[in-house]
Amino acid sequence: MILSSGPARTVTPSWRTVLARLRVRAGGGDLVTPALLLLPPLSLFVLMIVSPILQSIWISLYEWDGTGPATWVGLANYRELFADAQFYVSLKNNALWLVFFLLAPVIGLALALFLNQKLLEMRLVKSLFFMPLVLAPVIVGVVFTWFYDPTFGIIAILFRAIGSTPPAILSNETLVTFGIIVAALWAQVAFCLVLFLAGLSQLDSEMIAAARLDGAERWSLFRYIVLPQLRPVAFTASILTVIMSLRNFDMIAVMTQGGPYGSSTVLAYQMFDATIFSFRAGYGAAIATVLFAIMSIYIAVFLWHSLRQEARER
Amino acid sequence: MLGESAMTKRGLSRRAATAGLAVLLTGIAGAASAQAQTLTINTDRSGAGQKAAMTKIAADFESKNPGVKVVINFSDVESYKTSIRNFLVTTPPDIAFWFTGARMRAFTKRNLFEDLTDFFAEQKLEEPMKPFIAAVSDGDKRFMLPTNFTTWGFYYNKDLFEKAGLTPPKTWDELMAAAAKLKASGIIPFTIGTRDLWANDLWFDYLNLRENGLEFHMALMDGKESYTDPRIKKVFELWAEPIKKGYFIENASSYGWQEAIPFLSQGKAGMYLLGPYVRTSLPAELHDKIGFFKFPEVKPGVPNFEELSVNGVAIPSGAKNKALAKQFLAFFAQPENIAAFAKAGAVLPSRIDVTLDDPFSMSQIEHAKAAKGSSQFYDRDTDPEMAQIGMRGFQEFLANPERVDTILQRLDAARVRIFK
Repeated sequence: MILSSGPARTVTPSWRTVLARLRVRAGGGDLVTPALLLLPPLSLFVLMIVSPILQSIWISLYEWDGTGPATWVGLANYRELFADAQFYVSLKNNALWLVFFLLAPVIGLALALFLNQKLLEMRLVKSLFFMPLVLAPVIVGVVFTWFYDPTFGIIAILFRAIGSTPPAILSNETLVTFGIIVAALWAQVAFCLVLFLAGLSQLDSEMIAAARLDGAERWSLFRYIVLPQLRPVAFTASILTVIMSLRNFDMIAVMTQGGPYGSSTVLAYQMFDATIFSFRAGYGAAIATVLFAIMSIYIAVFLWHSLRQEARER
Repeated sequence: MLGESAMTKRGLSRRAATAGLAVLLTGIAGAASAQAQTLTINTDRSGAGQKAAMTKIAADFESKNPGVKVVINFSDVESYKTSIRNFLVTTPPDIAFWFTGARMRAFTKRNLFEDLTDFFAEQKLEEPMKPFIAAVSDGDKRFMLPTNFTTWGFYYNKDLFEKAGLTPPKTWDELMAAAAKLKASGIIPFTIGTRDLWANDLWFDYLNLRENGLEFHMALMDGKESYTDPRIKKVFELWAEPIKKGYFIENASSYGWQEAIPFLSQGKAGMYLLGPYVRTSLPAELHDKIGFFKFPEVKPGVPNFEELSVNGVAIPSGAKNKALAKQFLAFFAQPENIAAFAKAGAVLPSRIDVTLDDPFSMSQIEHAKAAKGSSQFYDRDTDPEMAQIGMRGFQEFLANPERVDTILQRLDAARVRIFK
C-alpha cells in the first residue's frame, strides 16, 4: 500500500501545479483542465475515426480508381448502387445475417446457464466452449469450408452414412449464406457466452436466497430474479452481435469470396470487391456510406439506451 | 579560433556543438551517397524458391558492382496488388515487379512506368523475347521487362486415358468423345475449382480464341465487341455441351482451384484445363502420371492461338536511380539469371533462346513458340471490373447453363457502362 501510493503522491502535486499555472495563464477559467484532458482522446478520435468517415463520404461523390485523378460525379454512385441488383442481394444477406446472428445471445445465455456450475470438470468444458474465441475468424472459416466440402467434408460423410446425397452448401445460392452464418455463429456464441458468464458471476446472491425463501422455483427464479439482473449484459451482447453481423466480411472472403456468382456477398464484402478488384474507390465508398448509415441506427440506439441508463443510475 | 576558446566552458560547448553538427552533416552526406548506390526492389514473388533465387541474383549483382547495395522488399501477392497503387505514387522503388497486359497499361496510362523501348534495343532483347513483347507494350513502346510466363492447357491422368484406350484429343469432337467415354466408365471427365473464379476463364478464353480468333477476342477484351454478339453466343453453346452432359465435376464452386487437383491425381477425374500448377501442387513422383495436351482445335482454319500469361518487372517513373535500375534489369535479363529465377518459381523464363534441363519445361517453351499469337488471360486482358463481373457470370453459367441469356445481357450492360 505505502509503496504503491508513495510515488503517486509525489506526482499528483506537480501535475496540479502545472494545471494551476495553466489555469492562471488562461485567465482562471475552469474549462482549461477538462479541455486539456479531453484534447488527446478527442484529437485521436477525430484523426482516426471522424476524418476517415468524412473522407469516405466525400470520396463517394467521385469516380476514382484509387490512384489517378478523381472526377466529381455527385450522387451518380448512389444512383448506380440503388439500381445494382448485386446491392439488393447484399442487402438481403445483411438482413439474414442480422436476424440469424441474434441467435448468438440466446444460445450464449443458455450455454452460460448450463456452464455456470461450480464443478471442477466444468472448467474444462468451459474452456472448450471458449475455444472459437481465441481462433482467428479466418481459421474458423477455413475449417468450416472443409466441413462443407461436398466430397471429403464431414457433412458429406455423415450424409453418405445415412445413404443420402450431401448438399453442396457453399455452391448452393440459397444455402450458402446460412452456411457462412453458422460458421460465424460458432464464434459469436462463444463471445456472448463469455459476457453472460461474467454477468452471472455478478448476480446478487442475497436476492436469490431471498427469492428462494419466498418460494421461487426454477423458471420463476430465472424469469423474475436472474434475467432482470442480466438485462444490461443481454443488451450489450445483442447490440454488439448486431454490429458484428453487419461488419462481417472475413468469413465470406475466406469461404466463398462472395460466391457462387455473388450470392453470398454482404455490403462490407461488396465494398471490398468494388474497391480492390474493380478499382472503383468511389463506388466502394458509396457502399461504405450506406453501410455506415445502417450501422448508425444501431449505434444510436445503443448510445441512447446507455446514456439513459447512466442518467437513471445517477 | 576553436583552439583558443576551447578552454572556456562556452567554447567547449560550442566545439561540441560544431562537432555534433559535423557528425550530423557527414551523416546526411553519407546517407545521400549511400542512397545513390542503393537499389530498392519491391516484389510479390515471395515463394521460398523465388525469394532465394532473387536474393542470389541481387548478391551476384552487388559483388559485380562494388558499392551497390540492393534492398528487396518482399510482399505477398494479394497485399501487393493493393499496395502497389500507393507506393508507385508516394514512395516509388527503383524496380517493381508486376503483371503485364491490361494491368500494366492501367499504370502506363498514368505515366507511372518508365519507357524501356531504348533499353530493349540496347540490350538486344526484342528477338529472344519476341512472343512476350506484345504483353509489355503500350502502343509501340515497351514498359516492362518480361521475366517469366505461364502456359495453359489440359492436364490429364495418363493411367485413366490408357485404361480407356484414349489418346490426347486433337479436335473438340474428339475431346467430347473422350469425355463421353470417361463418363461412361464412372469417371468425372473434367475437374475444375471455380471458388476463386479464374480457372473458368480458360474455358471461355480458349473457346473464343479457337472459334473466333485472336483479333475478335482482344476486341471483346477492349470492350469493342458485344457479349450479346452471335459469335459469343456460339462460344457459350459450345461450352454448354459438356456442362449439360454432366462432364464437369459437380459443385465446382465449392472447390478452390487447388482443391480440385486431387480428383485428377487420385484417378477420379480425367482432365483439368489449367496451368503448370497442377504439376507443382503434386509430389514429384506423381509428375510422370500427369500428361499435357493443348486445347484442341474447335473450328478448322482458325490459327493456333494460345494463352500465355506473362509477368514482368518495371522501373517506376518516380524511381531515384533509373540508370542503376536499368543496369540491374540488364543483368537480370541474362539467360542464366532469368532461367534460374523462373526455375525457382516453377514457371518458364521469358526468353526462347534458353535451354532448360527439364523436358516438361522445354516442351512448354516449344508450345509457346508454336503459337501464332497469344492473349494472356481474361482477368489480365480486360478491364478489372469487367473481369470481376465476367468471371462471376462464367461461374453462374457453369452451374446454371440455362441462364445464358440473362448472364450475357448482364455482362454486356456492364461492358457498355465500363468502356463508355
